[in-house]
Amino acid sequence: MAHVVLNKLSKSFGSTIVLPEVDLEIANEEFVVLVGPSGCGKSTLLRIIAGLEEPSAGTIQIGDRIVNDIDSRDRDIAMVFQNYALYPHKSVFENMSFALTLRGLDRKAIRAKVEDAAQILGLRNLLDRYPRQLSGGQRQRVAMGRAIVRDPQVFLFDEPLSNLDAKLRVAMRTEIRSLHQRLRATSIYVTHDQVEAMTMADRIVVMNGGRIEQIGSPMDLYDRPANTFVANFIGSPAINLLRGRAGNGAFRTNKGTDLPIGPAPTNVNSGALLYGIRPEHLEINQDAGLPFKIEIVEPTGSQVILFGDLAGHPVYALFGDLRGVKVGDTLRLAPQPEKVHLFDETSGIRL
Amino acid sequence: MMELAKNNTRHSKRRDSFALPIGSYLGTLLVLGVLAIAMTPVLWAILSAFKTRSDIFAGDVWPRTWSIENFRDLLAKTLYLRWMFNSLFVAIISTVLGVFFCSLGGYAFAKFEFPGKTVLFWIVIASVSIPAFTTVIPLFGWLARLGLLDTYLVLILPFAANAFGIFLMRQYCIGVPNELLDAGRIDGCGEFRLYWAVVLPLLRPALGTVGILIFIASWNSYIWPLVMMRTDDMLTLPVGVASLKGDQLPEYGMLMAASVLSSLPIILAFLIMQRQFIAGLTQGAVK
Repeated sequence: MAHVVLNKLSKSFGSTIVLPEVDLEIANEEFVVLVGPSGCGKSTLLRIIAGLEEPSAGTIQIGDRIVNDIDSRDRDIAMVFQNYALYPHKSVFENMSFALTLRGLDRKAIRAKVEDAAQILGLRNLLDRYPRQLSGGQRQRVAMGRAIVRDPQVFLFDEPLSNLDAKLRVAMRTEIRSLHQRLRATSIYVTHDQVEAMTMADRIVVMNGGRIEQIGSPMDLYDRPANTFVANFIGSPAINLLRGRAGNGAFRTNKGTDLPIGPAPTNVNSGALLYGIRPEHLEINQDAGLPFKIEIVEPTGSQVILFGDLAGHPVYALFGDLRGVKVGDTLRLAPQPEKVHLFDETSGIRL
Repeated sequence: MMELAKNNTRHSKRRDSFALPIGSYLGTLLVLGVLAIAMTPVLWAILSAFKTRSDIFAGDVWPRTWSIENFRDLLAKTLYLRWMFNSLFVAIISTVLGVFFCSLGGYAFAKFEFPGKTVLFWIVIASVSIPAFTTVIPLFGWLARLGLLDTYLVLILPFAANAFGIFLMRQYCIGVPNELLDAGRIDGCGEFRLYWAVVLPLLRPALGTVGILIFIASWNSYIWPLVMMRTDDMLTLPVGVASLKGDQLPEYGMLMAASVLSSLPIILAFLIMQRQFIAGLTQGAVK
């Protein structure tokens, strides 16, 4: 296994700059998730690490080697693709053994490695089948098996669960995570799904417009988002952001509503701010709460998401156990002061 | 629900066909008529091959006596077997080289970026519109200087790459998912291995089509071998069989026997290569 270091890495396609400059260090055995909206450059970054795209500038280091001038096949990496990318004319066994055959391993060793991986992934009975005879989940397992048998220094995953249905995605998420705990291989995982990022990562790299917005553990990003982009991206439903100004230990929205804040950060200024409160950090408080008129009720079974009007501001609220509410009802909600985030409205940076 | 919908469609189709029986029968009659027109000369040739010389001119459809004399004479008195070998050898080598170079060219045009790619591709496509006969004389002079006249090579080279074949392969290669190529590169393939082990097996339907086209073109080629070949034992079947007509009364029975035998390899080639026309070969490769 190996650590990965990206140093001042940039990529342009003609005059379009996809990655302005990326610096990133990934520790040995770490599971890092690159997350961001479509077109943010996360897949391009992964393809550069894989050697499928050349960077315009900067270096890629895998282990002790700078690999910029090394072909994909010699980088000692394995990649799992969004679309599986299984060879349709080869059986499951041949798909999984192809890389080993190219390396010139003897047939006995190849069989042993493939059968080991097949055992781990529950593919023992499918080795003679062809990709067209497999379900989506089985194909994704074969794609992972193909990566595992190579015993690479680094695993790269390019949105591997995007094509699976919701239930299978959750199951495969757990499977990939437990596989990582078992193999302890350095892994870089690309997704646009923040839930996938939160549940799987040791560290998350949030990307936007080719730039890294924040790097941190899932709970770091959730508790202390560096800016409004990260605050918005991490968490579902998204954080509520209300415009206004701070002063005298409170926050006054631009509609004149006073909201509580925790111990004020030292760098709070008198300029325009955004008051960030996550839907799950609004609580029912009949005494000090503000009137919240419910406009939409979205029960998910374990939780209920409410959308409505909080003293003139459209906000989401999330409750774990709240039954019997309906559209048109009015609750009294209060933000938990210690959970409030203040952002500079112009720069979006957290104060 | 889907099944019900299918059944309804099936029933309504059946009702339609009962509602318009005349149209349906007319269609079948038309097809049978066209088939009869197309097959009559073929049947006449086959039957004539088994007739004696006098029977051929008697005007009967069926031979009065079935004879294999024409076949015996053909094999004994002419270089037919040699011409058959020449034609087979040239057509097979041309087909193998043709599908190889066409697939390689098509793959390059579909999946690689290189300077002048678009211009080069249009030059290849434009070359289809140049009539082959206009190039025969200049090529004859050029090939004569190279000392290639009357060799197998001169018959093989024109079919070893084919603009239409390259175009067809390119269109087919565009459908090969890029992720498969990426997966192959990461698995350890060099560029040629990637083409050979990953791309080529996926092109089987197109290889079959281009293979049959090249085989038939090479097999039926007449003007090119007529101009390029000098000695009798280097002739191909079309030129050799045509030479049987001679200056006097042609041996029609023998000509028909030669034609019947000459069509067998083409039928065989088609039967072999049509198995390659498998739709949806990339099924399961990607979602």
